[in-house]
Amino acid sequence: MWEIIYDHLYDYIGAYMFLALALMLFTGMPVAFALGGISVIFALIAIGLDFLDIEVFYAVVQRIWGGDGASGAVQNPILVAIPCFVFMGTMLEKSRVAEDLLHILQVMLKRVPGGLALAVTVMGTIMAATTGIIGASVVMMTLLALPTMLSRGYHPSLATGTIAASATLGILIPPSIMLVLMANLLAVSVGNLFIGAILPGLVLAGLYFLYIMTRCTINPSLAPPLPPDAIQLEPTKMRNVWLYFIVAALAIGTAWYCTTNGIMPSFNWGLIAFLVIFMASMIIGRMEGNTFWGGILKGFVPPIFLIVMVLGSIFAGWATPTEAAGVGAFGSLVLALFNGTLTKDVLTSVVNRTGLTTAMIFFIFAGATAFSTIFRNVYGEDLIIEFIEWLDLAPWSLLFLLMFVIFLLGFFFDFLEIILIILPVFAPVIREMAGAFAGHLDIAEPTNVAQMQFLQAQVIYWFAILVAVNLQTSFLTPPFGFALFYMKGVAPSVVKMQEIYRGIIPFVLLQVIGIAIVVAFPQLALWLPDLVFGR
Amino acid sequence: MNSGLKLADWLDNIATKAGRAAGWIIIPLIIVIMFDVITRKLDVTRLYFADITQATNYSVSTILQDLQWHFHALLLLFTFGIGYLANAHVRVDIFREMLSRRKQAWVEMFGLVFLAIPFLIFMVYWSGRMGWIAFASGEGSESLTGIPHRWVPKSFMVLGFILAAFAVFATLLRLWNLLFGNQDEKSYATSQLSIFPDQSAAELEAARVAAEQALEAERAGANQTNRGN
Repeated sequence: MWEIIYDHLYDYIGAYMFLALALMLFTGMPVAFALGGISVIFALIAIGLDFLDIEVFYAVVQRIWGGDGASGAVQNPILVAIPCFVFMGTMLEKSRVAEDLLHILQVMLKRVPGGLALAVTVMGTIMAATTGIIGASVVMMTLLALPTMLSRGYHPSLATGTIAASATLGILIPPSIMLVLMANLLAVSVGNLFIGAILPGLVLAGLYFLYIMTRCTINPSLAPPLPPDAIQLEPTKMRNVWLYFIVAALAIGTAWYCTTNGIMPSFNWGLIAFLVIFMASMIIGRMEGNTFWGGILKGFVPPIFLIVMVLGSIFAGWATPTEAAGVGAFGSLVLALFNGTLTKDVLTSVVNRTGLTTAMIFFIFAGATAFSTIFRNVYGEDLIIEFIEWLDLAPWSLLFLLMFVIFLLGFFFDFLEIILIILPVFAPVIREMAGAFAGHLDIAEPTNVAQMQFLQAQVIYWFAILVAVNLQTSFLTPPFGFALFYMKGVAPSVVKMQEIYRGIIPFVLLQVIGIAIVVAFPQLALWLPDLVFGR
Repeated sequence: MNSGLKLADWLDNIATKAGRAAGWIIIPLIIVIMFDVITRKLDVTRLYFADITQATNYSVSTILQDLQWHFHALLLLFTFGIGYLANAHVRVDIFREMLSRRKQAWVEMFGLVFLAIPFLIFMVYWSGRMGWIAFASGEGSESLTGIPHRWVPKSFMVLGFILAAFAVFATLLRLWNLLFGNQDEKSYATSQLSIFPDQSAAELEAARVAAEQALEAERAGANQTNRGN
């Protein structure tokens, strides 16, 4: 009898571990404690049954620590980007840079049908990226945009749908914390994944744009145009605007002249011109004050420049993601300073929030690392691979199955848990079946190890982007999608849950189209990194 | 107030202060990255600093790169405790929300005793061993000119898990008082806990009310301008 139990446990302890984890997660314990506690309990059981040695815990702390190129949490230069991105996003939010951006986008897009909804989409594309968790970005965007949209007479369904979709788009569009974590766990380059995510993200944003504009052109009552006196602006003093364009032209001209003629070649003239235009925009925007052009120069240009600087420096291969994140965080401080909102209170609250978000991300990281180390050591991964082999699915069906599982998990868990627990389990499966997708990715059948590794990396990039879009869709899908619950929590009570549901359905359909496009055209995710980094 | 609650406040105070202080490390971290970028990635300053390196035969570049993740280590590890106390750690709330506060307290206590405490004990002990091995073997940076004394950041890991354990014990003492204490102890313990979902719901509710007021104010403003026309 005992023999049978022993053998059974020896074979299936990994499965029980997963089951116990699922149960413990739903008790509402902090996820990190559930992960860590379950791994310790099952490790002790395994040690008691002599499957494992107690030294396995040394492997756990070693893997949490990192070092020697391993994907640990602490000694890992790449993950330093995370607190910096969190700081940048929180600073842009709390220093009202985000609010000013929405304000000026509204004015700029006032003649376009559904202008305010489009402004929210643009803002989500640019900003919502960095707050760390979905709940936080949805709450922030709802508080920022929903009251304005409703008071301008936008239909609640359209307003809530736009906000939820745009706020969650941030997990896909770089700089995104989820992509940093994904790259780390899948052992691929962050810069590459960032660049790969840009086109799919823009395709989705474009789909939202098309939908909103078509819908509002057909039925203008959904989105009444901005009344001409809704936003009081002083007339623009054209002198300042000319001054700005002259400064910009001078800067570009000087940079071009000096570069082509090799004057002081050790100066990076392009960057200097960029920074001069950046500074001029903020200074002249402030001089200009509350006018149309002043708003653009002060509220629109600087955040765009900041994002361009962060992404561009990665793009150009000039900076690592960590360096770009540090520069971005510094840039957000400069922006807040010029906005006149960098008070001690704002800085303190940004620092505290950054600390808490970092703690949240990395405590789960530690728990998940403990879990995956023990899980691997009791041969849980082999169990999953055996199970998948037993299913005996074709590669495409298997891909859809994995996607469906992730979609279902997205109903209950934020991306942190899904990425940290599930991705390490799925990644070997994906690598295993990479060969089957060679034709689809337009890559020749690999004939040697190097080609095989290249193919696997490409399939992993494609898979990562698919997972990102898939998760975003899952967060939006009624009735469970939890972005919607966060939104309901802070929406004015005139907004009914049914209206939120009705508003989000078109966006979910757009997401499905988006996923289909990325599945059908993997080049969308692979072409740009290929262009930038070469083969 | 009994000694258990006093001890809880004391533990809470340590974990919170350490977490708040560690949060500020983000500022030097940003400055170090900026300095590193400026001295390595801009040609002018890079050449200038290369001259200094040649003249003094000493470079800070690898030290700065090590320093970046040392700061990051301090930031992420020392905030574990405050993260739990401020209820910043992710939970799956869907079923928990349906329970009464008392039942939630029981569940939390069960989880802390059977999951959190074993986990933290093992992590403290084994990261302590890791730190000790680093100390005994004189482990330094992987690169020759990096920061020596790897045991220092490795001891952050021990301290971080100890701070998390402080937060857990503080919460445990408060939960105990909430479940078994007299009226005063109960209300004090509740006021010091922030683990319940309805507490964050109250925060969200406040934000929602603020949004509603903003909406009404804007509507009133719009009406006035309309009447003005």
